[in-house]
Amino acid sequence: MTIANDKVETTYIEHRLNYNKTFGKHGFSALAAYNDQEDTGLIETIAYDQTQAAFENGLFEISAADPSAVPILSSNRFTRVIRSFLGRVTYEYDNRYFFKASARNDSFSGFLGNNRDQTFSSVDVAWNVANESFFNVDWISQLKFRAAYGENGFNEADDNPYIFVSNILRGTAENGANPLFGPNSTQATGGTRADLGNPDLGWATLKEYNFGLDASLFNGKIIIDANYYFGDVEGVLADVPVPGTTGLNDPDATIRLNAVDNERSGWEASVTYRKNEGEFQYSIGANAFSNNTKVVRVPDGFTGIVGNSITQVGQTRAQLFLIDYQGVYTAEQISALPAGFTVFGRAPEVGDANYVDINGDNQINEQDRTVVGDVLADVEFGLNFTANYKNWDFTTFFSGLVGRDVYNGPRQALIASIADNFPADYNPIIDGVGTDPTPQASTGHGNNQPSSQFVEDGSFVKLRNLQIGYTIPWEGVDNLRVYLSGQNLFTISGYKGTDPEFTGGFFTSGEDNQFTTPDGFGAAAIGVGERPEAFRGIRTISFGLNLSL
Amino acid sequence: MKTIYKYIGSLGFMLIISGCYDLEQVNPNQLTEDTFFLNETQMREAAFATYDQLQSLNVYGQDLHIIFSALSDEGTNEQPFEFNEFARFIFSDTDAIGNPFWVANYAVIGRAYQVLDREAEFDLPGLYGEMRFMVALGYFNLVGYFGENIALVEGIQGGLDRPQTAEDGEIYALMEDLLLLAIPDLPFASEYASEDYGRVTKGAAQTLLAKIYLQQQRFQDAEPLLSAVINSGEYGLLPNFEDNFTELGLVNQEAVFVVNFLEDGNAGNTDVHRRHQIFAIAEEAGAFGDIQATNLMLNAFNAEEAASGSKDSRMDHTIIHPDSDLTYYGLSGETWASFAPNQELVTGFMKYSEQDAVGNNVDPVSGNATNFAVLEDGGTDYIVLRYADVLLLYAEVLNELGRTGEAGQFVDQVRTRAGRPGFFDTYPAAAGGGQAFVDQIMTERILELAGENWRFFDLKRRGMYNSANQVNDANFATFTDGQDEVAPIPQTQLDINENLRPNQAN
Repeated sequence: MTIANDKVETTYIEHRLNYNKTFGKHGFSALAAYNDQEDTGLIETIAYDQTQAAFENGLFEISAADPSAVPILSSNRFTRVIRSFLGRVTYEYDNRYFFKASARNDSFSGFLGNNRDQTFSSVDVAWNVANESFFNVDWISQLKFRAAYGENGFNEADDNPYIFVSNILRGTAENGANPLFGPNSTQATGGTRADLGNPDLGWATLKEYNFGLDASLFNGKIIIDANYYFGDVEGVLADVPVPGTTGLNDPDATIRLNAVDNERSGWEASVTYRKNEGEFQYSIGANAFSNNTKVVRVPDGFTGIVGNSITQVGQTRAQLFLIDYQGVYTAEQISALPAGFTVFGRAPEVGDANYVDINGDNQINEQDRTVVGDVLADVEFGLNFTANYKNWDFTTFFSGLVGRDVYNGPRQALIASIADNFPADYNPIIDGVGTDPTPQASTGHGNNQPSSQFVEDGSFVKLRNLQIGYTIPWEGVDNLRVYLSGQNLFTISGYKGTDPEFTGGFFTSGEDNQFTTPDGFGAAAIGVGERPEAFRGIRTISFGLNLSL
Repeated sequence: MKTIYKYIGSLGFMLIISGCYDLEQVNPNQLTEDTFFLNETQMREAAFATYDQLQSLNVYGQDLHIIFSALSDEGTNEQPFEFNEFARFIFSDTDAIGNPFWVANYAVIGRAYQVLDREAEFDLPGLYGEMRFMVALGYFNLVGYFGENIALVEGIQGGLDRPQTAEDGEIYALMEDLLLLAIPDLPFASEYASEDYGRVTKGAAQTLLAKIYLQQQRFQDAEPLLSAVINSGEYGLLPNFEDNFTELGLVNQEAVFVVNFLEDGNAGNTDVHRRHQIFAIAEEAGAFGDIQATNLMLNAFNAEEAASGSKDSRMDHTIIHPDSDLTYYGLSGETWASFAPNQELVTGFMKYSEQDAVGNNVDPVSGNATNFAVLEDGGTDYIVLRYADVLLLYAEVLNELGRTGEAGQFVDQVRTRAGRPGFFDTYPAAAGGGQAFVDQIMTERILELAGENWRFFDLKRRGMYNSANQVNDANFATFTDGQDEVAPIPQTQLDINENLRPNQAN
């Protein structure tokens, strides 16, 4: 049992100087601002002996008599400072022409030297066509075109305020770097580098052009908003795996780098229709967006392979990189194989998994991995509907995405482990009957390998929210409403895992790895940054009552 | 005018309370690379961390025992689980066993270089000698498993370093240079205080360098080193063979280099020795039974008994077998034999099996000893370099140098302790030298050193690590000559480091 007390204090100072002036049709404003934010955190934990014996003896209590149950106290504090200077000027003429320019300088205590602060600027122009005298279209009440160039900084290192320096693991009881010496094995204190800091980290910068329009039609019944953008993201901060030769004694060790430059472009659009008259009022809104990225730089010496994914220059990030499954071997296929053909070191048999020999060397192994899936969605969308009829009200919201390939890690883990049950829809060939590869005890067997067999379409639609309410008219009561509400009531998806909606690591974002099997020595065989966001999309149904007097 | 004052006043106030938070932050929670390695005490702590890594589960704490026994003809796995194929040279998952071993041994090397790379800052020659030994030992174990074409690391590595694959001979040359530099700086065992027992001595470095030469069949180069260890007067044989493999709480004069473990540790303790869990005839009585013994030892002891007319007293302390006078976790050898998954192989390793620790496990309800192995009870110090090994190696070297006549006395020192008659009296053919001597000294090494992970290196040194020489070990039926002499480079490492080449086994 562990008791943790986390306290984070944020002190924030903001100064703003505003200047506004209007003369005739000219409007002018200027803003200067200074922000200074300090977060200080203190995390204190008390961990008790968690063994079953301790539980049976009641040693969870602080007053434990057994010295082995002495609680382990630890504390951790941090300070993180972010400082910004901001300046902005705007000018508008006659509510027709708009101009805005701004610049900001941001500093972050986690970056050192010249990398600590960076200046970002942006320019926006807009033209409100609807206000032009020549524009006389009755059914268009609002029409505005926008164009902008903007820069933005990201300091995605704020989860570790001291990321600039490597930490020393030293002197923490039995699991520290402490050896034993002497005839009676006495503990001596040791200290060694436990992770890798990076003193050269700096801001990631987004530089982007944006073109858009806002329109309102038929007296505000239809509202349209659309944007197109393109630009570059430079120096995206990401954790890059380091080789075992770095000497950290951690197979999953990483270093955070300004790792990747991306080109990106995309669009977003939304349309809303509103009916505000009569007894039956409703609105329907739909939005969609699509983002296309292409990697243009990776770190020197980085192969791009992380987990079962690959990030290569000229491609999208985190493509699935696996051997390509093409069914199970039939007797005819086996007899047609060249002599000496092996699949992960063995001659394949009827019912074994058949993979594509990419390099044509008559050996199926890791060298035959190839790109088998694109994990970034083509389009993401949302749809909402709200309605009122007399005393009834109704809202609902759907969202989803299409065109995303995902790797079903839990399914592979179940199939590769002879000790676990197969998924219900898995029909392995046993005694000649079945459609999927024959079960094999050895985890290293070809049939148990991660492959495109576990790459699935990750498209989905979810009903995020649905609510029906009824307002009961009652004299003397201002408002009395009862409602029934549900969250995440259903998901439509072909994905065989628990939930198609997850985010993996930066380099493994299409890998669902909620469950992983340990390797032969008990260490989890899991790549970097693949921790899933478990327990998402919890289904909730609630009944409520609002009353105001 | 008033407005102007307001502006000036506000601006002044803003300037006064600007920049009140400090952008220069240091980690208040723990030492960092900037605040460590600053004095001699911290340098010693950094060196001690290297010793700690040897205790790691992936090195002497567990995995090394699995690796070198399963891949030699003395150990096997007869259960259908994770080590079955490994023992049969099927490395289809290059990461499963190889990657933790790679990472852990490069951590030994990396921790040592954190000290060595600061050599110019502090005058601690002995400490640098210890660290040079550590780098060499890490490489020795890596070369044993992966062969010579592994990553060449010669200093502290940063997160962006991607070391190249070493060419043949490069790693051996590096190990030799390191140990030749270390030997003059290292103290004799007797120069250490007893509480420093376990630290690297001159004798340890000489023995390791001799072993490195011997793996390259450089017998002439090894001779003066082994001779120096023997003539140093620092080492001797314990009166009882079996005392080397239990925790006696004393400075063992037979241990040339030892890895210390904590007896009766807590759950999750990194300082425990888990070998007793993994070496048992079967997965019974709390043991995992990952490694079974082949009949190599049983046959060697039976042959010795036939030739000498008496049972070798080392037999029962080396293997548990159906006729043993000793028990294993309180159960007889016969009972254990009945558990054996393969009834052709009914013996198990007795060495380092922690019989005392297992007996200490008391049932909380009845208060009786459980005779049930639990993980955290491991703790026997593991002797990496043993003086008996030095004596046998020296005899082997003398024979290679044509001094067979002198060799007998060194074998006899080892045999006498075990109550054995003279080597040349028992095996007259060996006295003639040449291959007859080599064949018999290999058997002597089984009798004395079986289960101590040297058989694998013996086979390699003598050119016997191939399918033609290993017809008696069924596991070698799936050994592919020209490929399985080494294990494949872990795919994970090949994926991360593009300068690393696959080897013949990938």
